[in-house]
Amino acid sequence: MSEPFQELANLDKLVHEPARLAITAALESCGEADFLYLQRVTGLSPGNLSSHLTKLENGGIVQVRKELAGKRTETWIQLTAKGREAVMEHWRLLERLRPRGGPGRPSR
Amino acid sequence: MQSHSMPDLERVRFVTAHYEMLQGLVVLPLLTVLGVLFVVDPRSGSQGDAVIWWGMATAGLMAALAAIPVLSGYYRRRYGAVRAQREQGRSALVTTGVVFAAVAVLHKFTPALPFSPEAVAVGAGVLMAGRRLRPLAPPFLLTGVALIVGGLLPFQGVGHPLSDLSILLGVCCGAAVLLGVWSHLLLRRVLGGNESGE
Repeated sequence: MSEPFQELANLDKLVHEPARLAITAALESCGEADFLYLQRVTGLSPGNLSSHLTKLENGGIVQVRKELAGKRTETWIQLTAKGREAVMEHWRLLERLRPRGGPGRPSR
Repeated sequence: MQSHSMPDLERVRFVTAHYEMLQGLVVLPLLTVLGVLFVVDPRSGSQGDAVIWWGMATAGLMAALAAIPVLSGYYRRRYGAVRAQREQGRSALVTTGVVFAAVAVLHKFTPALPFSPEAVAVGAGVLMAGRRLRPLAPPFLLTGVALIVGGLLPFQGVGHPLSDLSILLGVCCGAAVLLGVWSHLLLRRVLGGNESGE
């Protein structure tokens, strides 16, 4: 396999999926966010968001915790240290690939 | 699921990082009341008018302060909550303080001129802030240019109106109201598309 394709194959599939990319993009810009905010910012249904968060949690990318707020239970989500590093590495890899095949490069 | 392009993700990052600052409606009533207090002079009417004016001003301020937690709750219920990674807005507050301190010094030591160096300085500060906060650039640009042009327009009389600090502060409150509305609309554009959470 040529080098660019090798790097493409190395992309973290767990992070690269569009919905999970949006979730991690939001989480990397804050300390933590609650479930409703992530639902709003990604446009996912509660069931879909739960499913993606479970995958990210199982992969060690995010940490999900419950917090009591009066009589309600709030769900807060944050990137783990490993998750933050994985997201940053993912974007570094995408930036490296961009000049080789990203928008703006003339096709031959 | 919305499909997210790169610019969308940039917007998601910006809105998340500045979520608290973008809750523009929270401070809108307070800024409006303060703007009116700065611009309207209670000494222009009779003593009875001044008493009524101060009563209304106090009531307005109390109502505006009481509205803050109510409006914060609205954002939390509608769009959720975010905790910042680090203390956000401290540098913005320090910069605003420095700009206003510089303007106060400028005001103190500049003689009455046909133009307003105070308004030009605030306008330049506003334009610089707009460069840093790109998604909020339009209201910053509008306000910055308006202040610079208004400050440079020669005024026949004793001192330029925008060199009167209470008028300048009133104009700044008006600009902050515009910024608050724009911030709210930006938040709605990014977070308001999906109504499934309601």
